[in-house]
Amino acid sequence: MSDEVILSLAHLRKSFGKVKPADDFSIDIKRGEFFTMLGPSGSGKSTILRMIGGLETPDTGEIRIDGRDMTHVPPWQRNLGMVFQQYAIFPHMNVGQNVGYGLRRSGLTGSEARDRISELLELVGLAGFEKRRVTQLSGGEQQRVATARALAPKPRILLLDEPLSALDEKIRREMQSELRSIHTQTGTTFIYVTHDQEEALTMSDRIAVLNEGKYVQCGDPAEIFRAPATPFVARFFRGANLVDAQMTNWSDESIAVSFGGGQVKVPRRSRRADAGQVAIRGEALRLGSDASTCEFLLEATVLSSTYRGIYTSTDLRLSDGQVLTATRSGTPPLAEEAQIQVGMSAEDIVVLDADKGSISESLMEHEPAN
Amino acid sequence: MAEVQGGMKPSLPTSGNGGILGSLFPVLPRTVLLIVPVLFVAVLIIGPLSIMAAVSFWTKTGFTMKPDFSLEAYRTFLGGVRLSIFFRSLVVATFATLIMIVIAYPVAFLIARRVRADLVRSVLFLFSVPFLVNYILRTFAWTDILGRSGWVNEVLLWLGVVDAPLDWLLYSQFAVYLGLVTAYMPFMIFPIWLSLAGIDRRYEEASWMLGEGPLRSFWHITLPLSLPGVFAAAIFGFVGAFGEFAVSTVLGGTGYQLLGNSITSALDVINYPLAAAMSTFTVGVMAVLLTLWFRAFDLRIFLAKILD
Repeated sequence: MSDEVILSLAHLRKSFGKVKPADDFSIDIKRGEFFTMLGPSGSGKSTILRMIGGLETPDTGEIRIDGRDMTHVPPWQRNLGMVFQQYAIFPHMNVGQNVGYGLRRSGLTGSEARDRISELLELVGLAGFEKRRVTQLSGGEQQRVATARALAPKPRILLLDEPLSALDEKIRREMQSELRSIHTQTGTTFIYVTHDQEEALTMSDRIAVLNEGKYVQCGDPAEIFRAPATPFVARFFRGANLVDAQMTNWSDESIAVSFGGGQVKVPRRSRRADAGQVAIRGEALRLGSDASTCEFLLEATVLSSTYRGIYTSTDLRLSDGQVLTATRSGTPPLAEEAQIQVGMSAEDIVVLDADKGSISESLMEHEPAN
Repeated sequence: MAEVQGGMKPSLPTSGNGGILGSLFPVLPRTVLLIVPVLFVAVLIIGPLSIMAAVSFWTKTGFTMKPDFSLEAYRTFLGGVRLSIFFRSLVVATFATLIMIVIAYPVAFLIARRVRADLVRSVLFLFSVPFLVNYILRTFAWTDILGRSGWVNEVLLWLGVVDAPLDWLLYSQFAVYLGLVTAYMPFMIFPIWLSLAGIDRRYEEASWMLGEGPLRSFWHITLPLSLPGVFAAAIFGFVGAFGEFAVSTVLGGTGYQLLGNSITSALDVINYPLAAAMSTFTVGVMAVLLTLWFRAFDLRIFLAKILD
C-alpha cells in the first residue's frame, strides 16, 4: 500500500426520494488499500460503491480516479472490476468464457488470453475449471469465478458488493482469508462493502462505518473496534457496553466520567464527547479478585452468568441500576445475586460523541455546555 | 443455477424417509393430478389425430370412403400441385415468422426496459385488445383499408404520392404477409417480453464493468439470454402461420392457396382421405421440426426461469 491516492470521492450526494444513500460523502482511498465500507442495510454503502463503478450517477459531487474526474464517465470506460452480491456469472457461458469476457478489449491474442484465464483460475483456486458449466458450480466456486472474472482485465480498483453474504458460515470464513490473500498477491486496490462487522475486521486495512449516507467513523480495524466514536459504531460491534455517564472537569487531555457510583479520569480522545455515554468492551472488564489491581473499581450484583464455551458471559447490575455484560474466558460461571467487584482501566472507557454531524468537522472544536 | 434447481424441486416430501404414510401420501395426489390431464390430452388430442391418420389410408369411393390400407391419398398429395402449395406455406410461414420476430422483439424490449413498471400490465393489455375482435373480421377489415378505394389509397392519391390506386396492396403476397403478421405477431410479444423481463440486470452491468458498452453487452449478454423466449415466440408464430387459411383466402386473391386452403379444398370435394393424408403429413413434418427445435433450444431452461 502506498500513500498515493487512487480514488477520491468529494462531497457525493445522491437521493432517491426521501432516502439519501450519499449525503455529502467524501473520502480518499490509497493505492493498494483494502478499504471496507461497513454499515447496516440502507446506510448507502452499496449505492456509493455503484457510484464509484459508474452504475449510478451522483446528484452532485465528484469522483476522481488516478487524479482524473470520472464522475460522468460510463462504467465500460472506467477500467474497474466489480464482484456482485449474487455474482452475476453469465449463465450461457462456461467458466473460461466468463473469466475471459473482460479480455475481449485487451488486445491479447487467443493463447495469451487463455494463459491469463488459467493464471486467474489458479489464483482463485479453480485451476482446470475452464470448460465447466457455471450451473455445475457451488456458491463458493461461483464467487471465485466472479472474482477471477473481475480481476482478469487488471482493473485499477476492484469493487466488491457483499460478495460473501450468500455463502454459508464455513465457506464464508475460508473465502475471507482467500480474498485477503488474493488482495496481497495482486496488489489491487479493493473496496469492499459489507454489513458483517467480523468480515470487516478480519479483512480490511481501513474501515469506514456508514450510516444514512455519511461515514460515522473511519480508521483501522483495531482502532474502530477498541475506540468507537459514537454509540452507533459501538452498537455495531457486538460485545460493547453502552453506559450513561456524567462528564465533568473537561480539559484537553482528560474528562472525569462518573457512573455506577464511581468517578474516574479518562483520556480525552480529541472528540466532542457530547453523547453522555461511554463504551466499554465486555472483555475489558475484570471481575472479583482480578479486579483489585484495576484503576477503576465498582460494586456490582451478578444478574446472570452463562458458560458459552470459549468465554463466560456475565450480566452485572451496577449501583445506579445500569447493566454491564462482562465476557471472560477460562473461568466458571458466577453465582446469581453474588456481590462482586468489577474493575476496568481508564484506557478502556471510551467517551462517545453524539450520533449527528460529521466527525471530521468538529475535531477538538467545541465543548458541550454542561 | 442453484435457484433454478430449487425451483424445479417438488414441494411435496420425497418418499423413502417418512415411513409407509410418508411414501404413500405424496404418490397418490401426484398420480391423480397427472392422470386427469393425461386422459384429457389422450381423448381430445391423440384420439382425433389417430382417427385422422387412419382415414388417410382409406380409399375414396364416390361420395363416401371405405376402410383400407392404401397409399393412394399420399400419392395424390405428394405427386401433384398440392405439394408445391405445401412448400409455399413452409416458405411463407418461415419468412412471416422472421418478420414477426423483427417487429415483436423491439416492442417486447421497449416494454421490458423502457415502460414504467406500473404501466407494463396496461401496455401488455393493449396488445391483447385485437384478440377481442374475431380474427376473420380483423382480416376482412384489411380489404377495406387496402383495397383500390380503401383509405390507404385514398390518402396516397390525395397527397399526390401516386397517380392511380396501388394494386399490390390487396390480393397480393404483401397482403398475405401483412395479414399473417398482424394476426400472429401480438402472440409473440408476450414470451419475448417474459424472457427479457426475467433477465437480471446485473448481467448487463457486469458486462459494462468488464469494458463492453451497451450495444456489445446487448449482443453478447441480453440477446442470448432472451433467446428461449424468442424460440417459444417463433413456435407460436410459425405454427399459426403454417396452418393459416383465412388470411390467404381473404387477402391472397383468386387462386392464392396456402396449405390450409389446399386441405379445405380437398374437404370441399369430399376427398376425406386426401385431406387426412395432407394433415397427417403436415403433423409429421411439424413434429420433426419441433423436435429439432427443442433439441437445439432447451425450453425447460425458459420454463424454469418462469417457475423460479
